[in-house]
Amino acid sequence: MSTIIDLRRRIQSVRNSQQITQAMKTVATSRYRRVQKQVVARRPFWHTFPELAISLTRELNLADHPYLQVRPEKKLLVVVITSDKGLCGAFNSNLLNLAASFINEKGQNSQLALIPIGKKAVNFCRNFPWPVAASYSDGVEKKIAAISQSLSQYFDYEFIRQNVDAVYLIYNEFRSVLAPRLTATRLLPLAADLSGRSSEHPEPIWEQEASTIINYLLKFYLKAQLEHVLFESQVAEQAARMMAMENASRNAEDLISSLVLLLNKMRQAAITKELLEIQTTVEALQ
Amino acid sequence: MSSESSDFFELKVISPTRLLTEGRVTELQVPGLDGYLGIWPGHRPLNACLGPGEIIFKTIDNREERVTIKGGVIKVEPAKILIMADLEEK
Repeated sequence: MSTIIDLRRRIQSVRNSQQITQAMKTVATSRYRRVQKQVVARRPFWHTFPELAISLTRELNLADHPYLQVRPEKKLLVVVITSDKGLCGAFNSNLLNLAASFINEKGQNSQLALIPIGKKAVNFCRNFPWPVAASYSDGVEKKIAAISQSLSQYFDYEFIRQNVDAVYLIYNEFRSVLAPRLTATRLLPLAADLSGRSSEHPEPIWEQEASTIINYLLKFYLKAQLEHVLFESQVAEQAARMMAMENASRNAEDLISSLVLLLNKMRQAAITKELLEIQTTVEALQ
Repeated sequence: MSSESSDFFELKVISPTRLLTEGRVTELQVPGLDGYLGIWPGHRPLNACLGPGEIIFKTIDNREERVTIKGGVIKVEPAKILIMADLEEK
């Protein structure tokens, strides 16, 4: 008899877990929608910016801009972007595996400094002998603008003074709801293809020195790119959590149905046994 | 694009967070680094940095609109004006 009670308890506890995972899924879905909306709103900028940058730089020889200088990679900054919280499937672990192999590989012949963003990344970066230049965690989603602002200034400062030869970003890029794409990409020096000059229009007036404008534009780009990457990671995180919670709810459902089946079988068996006992007693009395 | 004589131009104002405005405009004032610049249709191509201030423009149906910016870059072409604006984010 005790097993039936145990089973009932077990089913109840699985139901409770299922309720939790369902609630978390709902939360992740609404967050996902919210971040997704922002990402969509940002698209026009990414459609138009290259046009602007290319047409502005066409008239100049840009190869000597500090942001485009490729130097031997002796000192690197590596930014690792994860989520603050877990329960989002393999979102963080896959990324941290990639980050670990990236750091080990690059660490063999250059000096690194790490910048973790998100609690999981902060903990992860403690495992390495490299210094942590800056770290951000707790509510990253609300601080994206501030983080990009300060990081882009920091990168600008370090890169132009040649304290740092390259900046790499390791993050989850949002591709589809099903799976994010792991990305390790170089932020600085810029890889933009700004070569090729042609002028369909008459020589424009440059209100300021051309280099001033380009400088402004590229700094702007750096910040916007960082913001973009942080947003990508956010969307990917919420999508991953949504999927993970969806799966968990489904598994709980499966577990419940198999437990209920077992329970019913046991109850049936108990009833049959009791009936049999009554039957035999009645027969014995006659 | 033969717009020297036309009486409007296409204006597009973008920021990294969103598209601020897009449409036909008959006159435009932007906060340059050394004071406001007035731009009329048929303006010579121009590239400039913008300072903090308001972009003020009149749409083709004669409405005046304003957008407050922190800075940015403007690129003027004969029939098209592109402004990349930096906003004060909340």
